[in-house]
Amino acid sequence: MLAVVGDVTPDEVFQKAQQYFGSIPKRPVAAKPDVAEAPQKAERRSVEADKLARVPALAIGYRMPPRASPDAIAGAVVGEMLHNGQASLLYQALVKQKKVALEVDGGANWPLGSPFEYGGPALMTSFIVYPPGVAEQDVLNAYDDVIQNLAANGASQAELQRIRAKMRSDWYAELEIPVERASAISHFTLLDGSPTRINEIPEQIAQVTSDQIKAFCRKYLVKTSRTIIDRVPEALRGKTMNAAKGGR
Amino acid sequence: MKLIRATMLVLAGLMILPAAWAQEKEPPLPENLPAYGPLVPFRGPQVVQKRLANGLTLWMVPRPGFPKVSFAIAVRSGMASDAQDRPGFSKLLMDTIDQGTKTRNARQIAEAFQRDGGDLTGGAHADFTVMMISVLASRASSTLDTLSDVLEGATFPNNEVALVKRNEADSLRAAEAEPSFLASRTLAKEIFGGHPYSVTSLTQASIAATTPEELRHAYAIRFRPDQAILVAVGDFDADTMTAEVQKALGHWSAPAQPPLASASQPAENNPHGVFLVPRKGSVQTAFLLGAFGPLESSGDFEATEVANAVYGGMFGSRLVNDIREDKGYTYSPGAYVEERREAGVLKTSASVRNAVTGASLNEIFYQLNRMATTSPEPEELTRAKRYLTGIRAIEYQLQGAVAQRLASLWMEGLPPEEIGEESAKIQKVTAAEVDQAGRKYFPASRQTIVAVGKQSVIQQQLEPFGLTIQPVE
Repeated sequence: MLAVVGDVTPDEVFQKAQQYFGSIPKRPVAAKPDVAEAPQKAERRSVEADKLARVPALAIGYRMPPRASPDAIAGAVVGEMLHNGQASLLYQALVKQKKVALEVDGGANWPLGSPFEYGGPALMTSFIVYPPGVAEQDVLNAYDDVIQNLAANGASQAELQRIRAKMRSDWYAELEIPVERASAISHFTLLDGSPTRINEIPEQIAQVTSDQIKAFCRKYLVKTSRTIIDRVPEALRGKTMNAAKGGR
Repeated sequence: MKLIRATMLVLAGLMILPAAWAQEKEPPLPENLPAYGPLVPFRGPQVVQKRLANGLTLWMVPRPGFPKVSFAIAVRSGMASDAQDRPGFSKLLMDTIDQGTKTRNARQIAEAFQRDGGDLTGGAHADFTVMMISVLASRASSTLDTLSDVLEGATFPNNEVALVKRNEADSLRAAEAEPSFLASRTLAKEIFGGHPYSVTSLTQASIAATTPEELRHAYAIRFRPDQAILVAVGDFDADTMTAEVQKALGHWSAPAQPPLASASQPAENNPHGVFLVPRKGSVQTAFLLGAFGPLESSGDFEATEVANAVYGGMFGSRLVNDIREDKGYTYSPGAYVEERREAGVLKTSASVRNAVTGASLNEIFYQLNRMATTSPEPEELTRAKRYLTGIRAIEYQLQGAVAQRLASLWMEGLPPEEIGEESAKIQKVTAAEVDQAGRKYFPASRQTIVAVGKQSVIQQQLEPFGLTIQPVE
């Protein structure tokens, strides 16, 4: 798959592709290996010490639906509702209201790429940097409240409108960069067999409903299918490990 | 607002590194490669310039097609205008400016921008502060409305200021674990001495001391239309945009107090020596070298940019070929031209393995002195000029990059047309001009050297250079 975007004409590109790549002989295509993972049955947690870090951070990862699943697009929207900017649910709850975090970032397929460019197993990851004086469990409790609330109540019409606008705008911003546009076209071609899906993403996002968001949270954002890593400065380790044990 | 953690604008020296690096030496390139294709430089846009009755400068670049609009709002005061006992205060000002207005709380502001498809980001630089936001073109007037609220009606609520202060204190602790942060902070301090440009970050003391009243007072004096520019780039009609800006910001008024004085030109007497920032357990030495370079308005600015690209400012440069490709001392060395309104600084950075700390500085010095004493090959000059031209053509495809560049031109007192003339000026640079810039700015003896890492390693390995090695905080 070769995608070319920019100040070129199709004729010129096809001619050059023929000239430089046409002589490569055709080969049989290797069978696609099965990289599916066995379902996760229980929450996994660990604490790691960091010699040089000054503040602790948490990473929480949930298994995402396969690409072809109709749930995948709801997962993309949920990931952005939770993590996208200062208006996001996690930023507002953890940083602003409960004051248990300094920074929140994440999303479906974060930080590897956009929520639309994974083929095999993928995660929704939340990355939370939190103040040294706050216990890991307090961060997790605040986090779980947000997830449970979204699973129970879904998104209001105003919230849906906002996230649709933001995701449309972000999608355009990605496509504004020619090499990203080429990359997106090649991913959609390889993974979906459809280069034009690049044009359908904003519409697909706009069709996700509050009910789908609730259903997604209940099915995928569950404790048994998540892994939590707490990385703490070595000096704080004893304290935070005890807090983590207390939370089990 | 999410603060962009750059303390100044890096105007040149953008480096694109390939994601993967093969350790083994590459075979020589085949002969009879096609010649360079024609160079297609960035074509400068028509910039529509207006000034509102209240003094607000408005630069607009209508670019139909891509359905977004990027705004940059800059005011002419930054960290160089902060009180001496409040280093980095401008950062707190930018952190808190969008945390509440007379009509909206912090959450409502963030949600209003999200509804338009944007996120407000901000940066406190030495000479100015800038806010940026890119939104759906159909929502641009709504964005201007919220922006006007932030620019005219920010209230700095006590509880929000307290939270920002606590989080900035922790963020500063986190940043102090990063060698690059420590190196930048120390280099600015040593190069600029007592000049206001020496400050690039907050301190715990300034965070603790800053009050909501101080923020409100500074906001009233600094955020004023006669010292501000609004840049808009994107899918709009200039007359409509002018009317929208007039409606949103036409009533913004300047206070009676005079604007803050801008920074004076710093004395160019940076020390030639090593400043050692000890970092226990470090497995690398992070080098950051700096020396004064030309102002952007200076006649030899472009020649210096070309010289810098030959030296270390692009992927195929001498420094990268030497200490990365050939010797494998480091992964991402680089050289940068940094511009403030009253000072230009040439910087070299490289994080190297402990064992090759001395050997790396030796190569850096060699490559610097080579620029000062010998002429680059014609092929090197061609490559550097094509790189600097091409990188602009790539960069300025993006609305936000154009908006940001125009804001920084205004800050430096340069006309907007400059954005379209950069490439032509680079193409006109002669070999003799590059030689002169090399001789003038690149000698190793002009450099202030910061090394962050294991103290015993740095002291032992840099001892043969005969420079003073001064441990600093």
